[in-house]
Amino acid sequence: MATVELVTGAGGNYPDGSDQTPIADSTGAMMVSPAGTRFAEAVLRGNVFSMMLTATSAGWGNFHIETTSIAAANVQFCLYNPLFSKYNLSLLRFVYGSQSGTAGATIICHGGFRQAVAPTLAATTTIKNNLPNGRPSVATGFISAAGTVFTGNTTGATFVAPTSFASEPFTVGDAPAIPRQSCLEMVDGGVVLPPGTGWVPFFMAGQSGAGWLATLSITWEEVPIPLPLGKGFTI
Amino acid sequence: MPSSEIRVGPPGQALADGETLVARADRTGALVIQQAHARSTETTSRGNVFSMILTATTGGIAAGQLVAAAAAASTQFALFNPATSKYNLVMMRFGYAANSGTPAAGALIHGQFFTVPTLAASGTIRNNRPNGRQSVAVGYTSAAGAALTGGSAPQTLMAAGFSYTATAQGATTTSPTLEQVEGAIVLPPGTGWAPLHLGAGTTVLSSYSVTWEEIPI
Repeated sequence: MATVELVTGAGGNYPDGSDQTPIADSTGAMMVSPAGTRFAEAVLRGNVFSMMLTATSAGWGNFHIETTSIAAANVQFCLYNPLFSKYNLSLLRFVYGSQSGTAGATIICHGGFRQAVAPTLAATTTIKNNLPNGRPSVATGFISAAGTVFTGNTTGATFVAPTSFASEPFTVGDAPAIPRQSCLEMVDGGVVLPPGTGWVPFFMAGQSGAGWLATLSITWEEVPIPLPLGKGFTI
Repeated sequence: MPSSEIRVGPPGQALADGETLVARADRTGALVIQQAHARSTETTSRGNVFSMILTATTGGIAAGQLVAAAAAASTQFALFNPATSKYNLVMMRFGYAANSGTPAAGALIHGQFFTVPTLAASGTIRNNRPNGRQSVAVGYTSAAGAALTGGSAPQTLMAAGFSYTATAQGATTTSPTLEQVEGAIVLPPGTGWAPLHLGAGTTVLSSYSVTWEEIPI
């Protein structure tokens, strides 16, 4: 078996077309230089998608809030990966831009739910491919400025333990007191939705603020799931 | 076909320059790496990274910089990739600052165009490596705004990385803001990009900046 051999050091000033041994640092780690930007390869292959809601017009519906009675609750911004999509959805970017109202007293979380039977509510938004003229998404998006009943949510939307944001964009306090915010979280694959699951921005009980209106945007990569030959697909 | 082999774990002690070794793996078998240079050094040093700025607008937010703008509306800042360029434009960074006035509430939006205007270029595009080659892109900058002749109506793609409430921008709130787009937006030939606001606000004066990589197709 051939080994991948490295040489420690800073390298040289080599001409294009020359063959060189890759370099390592003093701990034996291979030294690399990114060819380009982080997401360009996935976007150029047409696998990155976005959906957005320019402005909510009411406070958060209870599908976004920790509660014991969640079936058929009101939903405003939700992404769902259908059971037979054959893709995982890897979240890349999430934007939450406060516009007005009173913010919650704590952070916003990523909320996830399992639902093997697709909601009966029809998709309410157009998902855009980040590569203009690229293929359509396999995902289903639901947006509603004022909120709409998430019909067909028959499993009661069992929420997994939400992962809290550690980023600074989501400052507590009245939104009007925040003239300008950085509001982008680079999720960078930190949340993945297998088929039959979905994602919502999520607030713990009593922490969703009052009339807290916002711009929302989510961007994700659709990664094909390799299937063994002759095997069916289960979750 | 021979397969490659890498070795789990770091060496027992720090290695001196010039030593040869087998590439290092972590305990899952993944190759362990370290970045040799700054993230954009390779592509910038090859002369493939470009920037365009508008230091300050002199009028409020132009109609063409608004969500749901009409075709050929007055535009202050936009970037296009000509249909015959033979390059994709990969967006790396976007900067925006509201220097004064009262913005409309909400996040800025990345807008897309699916055709290229006939208007002659008005923006100065600079190579991020001084004395590098010319860009293939067409940029439009206009402090007061100019009709985007031959342009189509922009469509919304996704929100940008900063947001405003409807609050007057004071001395303590005028720091520029930077979004690392990191290739999440790509412009193939025949398409374009512009930042879009949810509303014009009141007498909002702005600064814009965009940086991109040009990748041969």
